[in-house]
Amino acid sequence: MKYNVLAPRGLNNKTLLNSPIFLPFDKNVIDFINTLSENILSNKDFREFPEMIALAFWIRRTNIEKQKKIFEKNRGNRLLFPRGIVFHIAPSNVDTIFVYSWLLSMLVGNINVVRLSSNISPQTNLLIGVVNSILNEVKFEKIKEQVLLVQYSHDDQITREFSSNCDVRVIWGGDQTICKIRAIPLNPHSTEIIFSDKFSLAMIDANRFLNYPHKDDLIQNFYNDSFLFMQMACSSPRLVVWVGNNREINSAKEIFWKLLDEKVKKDHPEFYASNAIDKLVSTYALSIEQQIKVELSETNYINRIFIDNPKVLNIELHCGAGLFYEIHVKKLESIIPLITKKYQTISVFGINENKIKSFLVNNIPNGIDRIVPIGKALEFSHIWDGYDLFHEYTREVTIQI
Amino acid sequence: MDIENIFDLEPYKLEKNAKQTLLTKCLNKLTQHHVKNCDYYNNMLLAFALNNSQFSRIEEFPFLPVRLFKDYELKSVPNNEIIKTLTSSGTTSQKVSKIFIDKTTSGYQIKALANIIKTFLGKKRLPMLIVDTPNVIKDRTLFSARGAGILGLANFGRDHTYLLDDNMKLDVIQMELFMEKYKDEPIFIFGFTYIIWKYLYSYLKKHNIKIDLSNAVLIHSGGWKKIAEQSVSKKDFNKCLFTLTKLERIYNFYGMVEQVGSIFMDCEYDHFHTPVFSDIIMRDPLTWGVLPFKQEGIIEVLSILPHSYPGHILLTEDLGIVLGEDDCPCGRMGKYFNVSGRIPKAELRGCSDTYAYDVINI
Repeated sequence: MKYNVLAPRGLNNKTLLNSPIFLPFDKNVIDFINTLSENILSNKDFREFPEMIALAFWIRRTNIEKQKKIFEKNRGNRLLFPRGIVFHIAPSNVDTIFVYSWLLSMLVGNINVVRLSSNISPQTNLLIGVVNSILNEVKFEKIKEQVLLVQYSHDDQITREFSSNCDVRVIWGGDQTICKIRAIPLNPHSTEIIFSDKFSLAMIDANRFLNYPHKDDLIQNFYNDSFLFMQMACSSPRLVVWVGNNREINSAKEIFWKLLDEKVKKDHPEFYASNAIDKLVSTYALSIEQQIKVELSETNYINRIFIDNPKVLNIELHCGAGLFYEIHVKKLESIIPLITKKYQTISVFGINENKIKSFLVNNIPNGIDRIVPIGKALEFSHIWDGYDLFHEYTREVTIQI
Repeated sequence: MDIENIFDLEPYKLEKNAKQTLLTKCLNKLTQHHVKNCDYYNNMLLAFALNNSQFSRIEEFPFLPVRLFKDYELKSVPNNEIIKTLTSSGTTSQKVSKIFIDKTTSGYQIKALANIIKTFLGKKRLPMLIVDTPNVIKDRTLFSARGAGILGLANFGRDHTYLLDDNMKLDVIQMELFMEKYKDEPIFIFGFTYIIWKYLYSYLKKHNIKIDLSNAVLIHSGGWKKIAEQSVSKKDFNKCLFTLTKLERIYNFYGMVEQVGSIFMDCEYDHFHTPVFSDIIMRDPLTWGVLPFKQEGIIEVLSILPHSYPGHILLTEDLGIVLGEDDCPCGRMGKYFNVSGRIPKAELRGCSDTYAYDVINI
């Protein structure tokens, strides 16, 4: 088997198999993760990667203590142990969200093998550097036996080997990737967690928006959800569902997009000529697949497509980078036919919890994993894509005597 | 003026206002033709509410990104009228563009190309060397960009002689026999830039062969990406070739399989020229606005030749600069420009480039 060990330097799979596992939220692990947070925050190289800063904040001690409380509350008096070895297959793009699931798995005591593809993003590279330097500290000697970051390009044989030795396999990737990896058998007692490509939307009550005094804050929040990763995060809204009557919606839309346009012009999010072309290709392709109306936009930071009363919505053609589909509905129920298993997050404004709850309970949509307020779309939680990771990463031992 | 009469025009003699009027008229007609005969094209223009529009300037016409020809079979004539299909492979994915050619379009392409080329080669067919292998034109109904280019240019030569064998090895004896036979008359050499560089020039250099091609005109095309990777500029290319072959008259052209025929030839001043059949516009990627001369933008190409497929107004993935119009020191009228290269890929790739194991997630 030929793979590069990225961290820690000089370990291989065999030594991990004999490593001891910890109880959930072991002090050593918390210290390690907190040190990781501190090192990211104090390292200037990370500044240009907002997602890494967000990660560092999420794993700082106060939040980890908060996660611990959640874990302990759910656990109650039950006996929970780590599952053992968790094998993470990271997505091969700039995404770093897999780091959260890897660190959560560490927190509950597992040994972790993380496979990275051959094209490692600069931010992941920085992270590997920091992980290595921390693992070299004497006080983290034990942690060193808990982590293995490896790199290899498409090699089913290596994946097979790791798969047969792990207790949980976690796959991040597109449908094709996931199908390919799933064809590789796991150890019979192992479980698997799949994080596939997802599509997300924002839902705005037009009337509430028109009467909302803090529109700039909302725009800032929507901007963060959408433009921080140029809509490449699965939970970034790519579709905006306007709720209300047409008159309200039209006035709300006009104000909303005008404010966002000003915001974008002021903040200048990342922009590449190729993004503009990608969006034009997506737009024309969508026009072939279904009837659409392209809304004129002053710049290619934001491009919008109105779809009148769609029965289906082609979400595969969406390429991100500041492209928004828009639909108008009078009632939330109208979006039910569009929702597939691929739908992940609805970030909402002006729609309260009870209304959302009854909408979900009465309709049981095919997809939808989380509802958050606009501005929190990118915030990670231990419950992701329908999995409670604290639950998935542990096993329960019952004592009934 | 009708499209048929345009072929009677000199390719580089029409001043800008007359050209604008002529192209606008032809492109309006073509756009309506494609709207009526290509459902996909109609849907695309409908999305922008432009399917019934008449445009008053060439800058107003909607442009299609060339990549669409990889994802969709776009054609404006019935299948039984298609006589050949041209294909091009992109650099970013395994998908190929498919360009459907009918008799009318093919005729236009031949006429336009003849009109352009004869101003460089003269009216007579010249003995012709092709720096490629005959393999690339074996299938007469399905052509790669290379095959299409060779076949198009072959019309201007006679005694066509391919210089490379099936293994892309230079047949030196064949070349010397040809040069001996035609040593007292002008000859025409055609090939793709990187093939000339890799299989002709490099071979001659490696084996220390010198040959006298001073009576030849070389026309070549095909992009500089592969050559630029070896840090060879257009100037280096010309100079190196001259050193080994005494070739002086070397013309590069910018063209693409999506708009065969209305090519942009290089002049003595290293400027690509728009002939009367085609034009060029630089677009600002941020607004799609038209950029003023001397500013770099995404190259949009317009051609009045595509009848069987809606490829008359295309947005390329190349960057370029329009240097001026009607005032190139070489005397040719029309816009003249430089090509700077491919647009850089975004770090965050869009959904257009998905490979197994390399798929955008989250």
